[in-house]
Amino acid sequence: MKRIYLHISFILVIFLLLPVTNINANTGLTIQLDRTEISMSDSIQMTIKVSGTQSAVRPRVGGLQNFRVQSGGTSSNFSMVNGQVSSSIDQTYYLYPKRTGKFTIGPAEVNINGKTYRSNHVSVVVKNQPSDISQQSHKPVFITASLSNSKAYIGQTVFYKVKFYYSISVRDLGIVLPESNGFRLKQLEKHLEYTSNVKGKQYKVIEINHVLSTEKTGTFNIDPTMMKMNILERQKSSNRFSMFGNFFTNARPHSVQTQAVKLTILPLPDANRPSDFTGLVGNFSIQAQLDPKKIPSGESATLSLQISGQGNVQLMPDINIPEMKHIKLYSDQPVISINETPSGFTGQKSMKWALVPQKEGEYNIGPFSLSFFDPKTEKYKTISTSKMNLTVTPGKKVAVTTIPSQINSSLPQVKKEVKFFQRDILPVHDHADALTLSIFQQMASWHKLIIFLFPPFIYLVVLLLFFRKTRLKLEKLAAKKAFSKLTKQLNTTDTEKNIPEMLKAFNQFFNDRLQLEGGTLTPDEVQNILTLKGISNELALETKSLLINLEAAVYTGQSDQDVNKLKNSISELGKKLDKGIKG
Amino acid sequence: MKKILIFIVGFIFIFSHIVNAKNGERLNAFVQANKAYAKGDYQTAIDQYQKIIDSGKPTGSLYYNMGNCYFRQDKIGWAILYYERAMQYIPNDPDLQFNLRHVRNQIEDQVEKKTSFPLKSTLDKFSISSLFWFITICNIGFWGILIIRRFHRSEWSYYTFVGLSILWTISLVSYSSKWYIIKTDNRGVIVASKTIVRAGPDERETKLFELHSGTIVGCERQEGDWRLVQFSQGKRGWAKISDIVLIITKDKQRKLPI
Repeated sequence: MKRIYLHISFILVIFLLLPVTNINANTGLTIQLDRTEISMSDSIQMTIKVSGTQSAVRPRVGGLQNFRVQSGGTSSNFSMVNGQVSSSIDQTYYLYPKRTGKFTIGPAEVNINGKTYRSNHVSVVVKNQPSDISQQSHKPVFITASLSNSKAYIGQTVFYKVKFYYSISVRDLGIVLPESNGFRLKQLEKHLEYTSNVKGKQYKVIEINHVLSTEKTGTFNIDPTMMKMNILERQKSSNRFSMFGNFFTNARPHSVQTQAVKLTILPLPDANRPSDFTGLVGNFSIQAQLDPKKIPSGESATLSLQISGQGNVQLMPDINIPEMKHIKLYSDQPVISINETPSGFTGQKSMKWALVPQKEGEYNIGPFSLSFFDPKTEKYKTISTSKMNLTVTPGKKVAVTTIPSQINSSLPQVKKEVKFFQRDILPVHDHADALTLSIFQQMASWHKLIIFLFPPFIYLVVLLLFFRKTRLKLEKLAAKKAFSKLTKQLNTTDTEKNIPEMLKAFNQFFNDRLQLEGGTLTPDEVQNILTLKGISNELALETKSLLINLEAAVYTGQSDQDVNKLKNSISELGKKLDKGIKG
Repeated sequence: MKKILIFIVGFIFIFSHIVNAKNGERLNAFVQANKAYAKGDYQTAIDQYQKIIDSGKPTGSLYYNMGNCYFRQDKIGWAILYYERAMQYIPNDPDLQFNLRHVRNQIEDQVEKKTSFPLKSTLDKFSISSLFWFITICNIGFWGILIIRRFHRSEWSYYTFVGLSILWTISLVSYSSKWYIIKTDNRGVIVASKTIVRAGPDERETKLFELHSGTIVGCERQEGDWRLVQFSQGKRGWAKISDIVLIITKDKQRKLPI
């Protein structure tokens, strides 16, 4: 709750402080029209924006004698961004033309605090209503299409204008543009909505503008554009007294289409084409500025070039400055801005260079020229800037030291983005390798399978070949280590259950030393094997009797010998056998 | 014995002669096609390139050249089709990538993002042959280090074994996935300037949407003269078979180097 009070008090403080802030800082007056070309039956929306004030003012507007004026209301705007307060009043008027022609509206004048402010002026063209609109005036819904020029030069901006008229309720509008037949249609971002009077009937109009672009010349038949929609109709009730009878609506699908239009695209004339012509079509201007015009040697001046105009502004070229003796040039990234206006694309391209003269003297900069084709006059034009002079005075003498030449060459160069002039595909592969099949392609599937299976196969062969050898090696190793294993086991044997463990260890010794598979041998078998392995009969007999004694002790649980003594005799016997057994 | 020897020598001689004659024919057709292209007679160039491809030995460059010819004839759909076929053989060819990008920019329909399995975009950068050589090297390395380790077990051989095992697994998965992608590739290109996709395999069925030349669709089953196609997740329907050509036909799938 406390926080809410804080917020409210903060807002109040802001409003109390408002009169103190300077909101009249940017007082100004502008006139804006929603369209600059209309027919006799249309209306234009004119907005007079008075910025920097919140008080009601009544501007006087010149040039309205050719229009019937209807007020459309006033709206005020107030904003505060980063502590900067701005306010404005928008006054809207609807203008209905009285006659055809080209008229200039403005400037508007307003008196604020004893000071008179003047606005810009705008031009509007009023034409007769096209015949196809009048012909369709009996329909509740219809659509028209027109071109800004029926004949244009390649590169010239042509607008394809679609106007949808409706006097009933419609929804779910969908436009189906004609199929491309060598041209492309791109819808402009903004569409216009206004009312129009056709033969005394009021229609709402949606105007959609498209830019038509093509790279081909000739005559194009632009097929009709179709508008699909759902028309809302009141549901008729069978019960005449029903209160909901006319309340619900039905949506009926409906479509309307324009007439086909014809466009002729002419090629640009070859005669008198300037050598530096880059395909720019429209009306352009070029301006150059050098700042400052006088500098000491070693310091820099800024050269600015600006191309602006209307037409295919995206083709505005980069101006190249020829190399100048004793002047180093550092170019900046060009800045291009393009705007969509009802009369076409307008744009500006700004280029900047830093000029660093290395020597004092007078330098001539420019002139810089630009060539374009003007479709109005149907002629190429080359415009130039005026020649500029740069005066370079002697720089400050620095008592230092020669700067190594490497430093100058290592100055960071401003990089330029490499752009395409045009786009096309790369040529065919006509070298002989184009026909050569790769080794992979030449191989059959079974070749590939063999290549894949060959390494594991080799591994398998190696494994099989060396398996036996490895096994024998292991057995020999086990035989060699048999006695040391026996000694280790005898030393770690628990004294309480020592005799069975001793017998087990002794049997294990025989298995390991004689490289046998495993299992327990009888004393007689042991004697036989030992004799076969080259052990003397006495030692074999001694071994047998020791085994018999051990087994008797294990199975009867009684032994007449001391455990430690037995352990020693097993150890000694093992030592003798280990030495005596061959292999 | 002597007769058998004469027969073998004679067979080798005749066989090599036939092979040389066939290669000569291919080269001749190739030269003719290139000349026709240079003169601007693109249809003759297409016929000659097609003749070489039909001989059963297609190469990525031949498909690329075909794509160029169709592009020059303003047949964007066919150009895309042949460039996509060339991508199966020479996906890293810079000329092909440049031209394909250029032609794709001219397609009217906006491509909608599709979800595909994560490896696919990486695998698209490699041809099946390069993956085969990769798996061959990894295979030799993997089994070789196993053999080495039978005789010499050391730290370096252990780490080499671990590294090669990982590479071997990656190569195996990559090759198998690529093989699967090619085998199940059902993409088709719209070659007609416009095709209407309907709700069913009949002219009287509702029109759902239309697709334009060069657009790639996923092709599914066919019924009569109609094929079920999928453009994106929510856009599928039936289009005329004559308007769509599969990038990898079943016949081509057999001829592909897999």
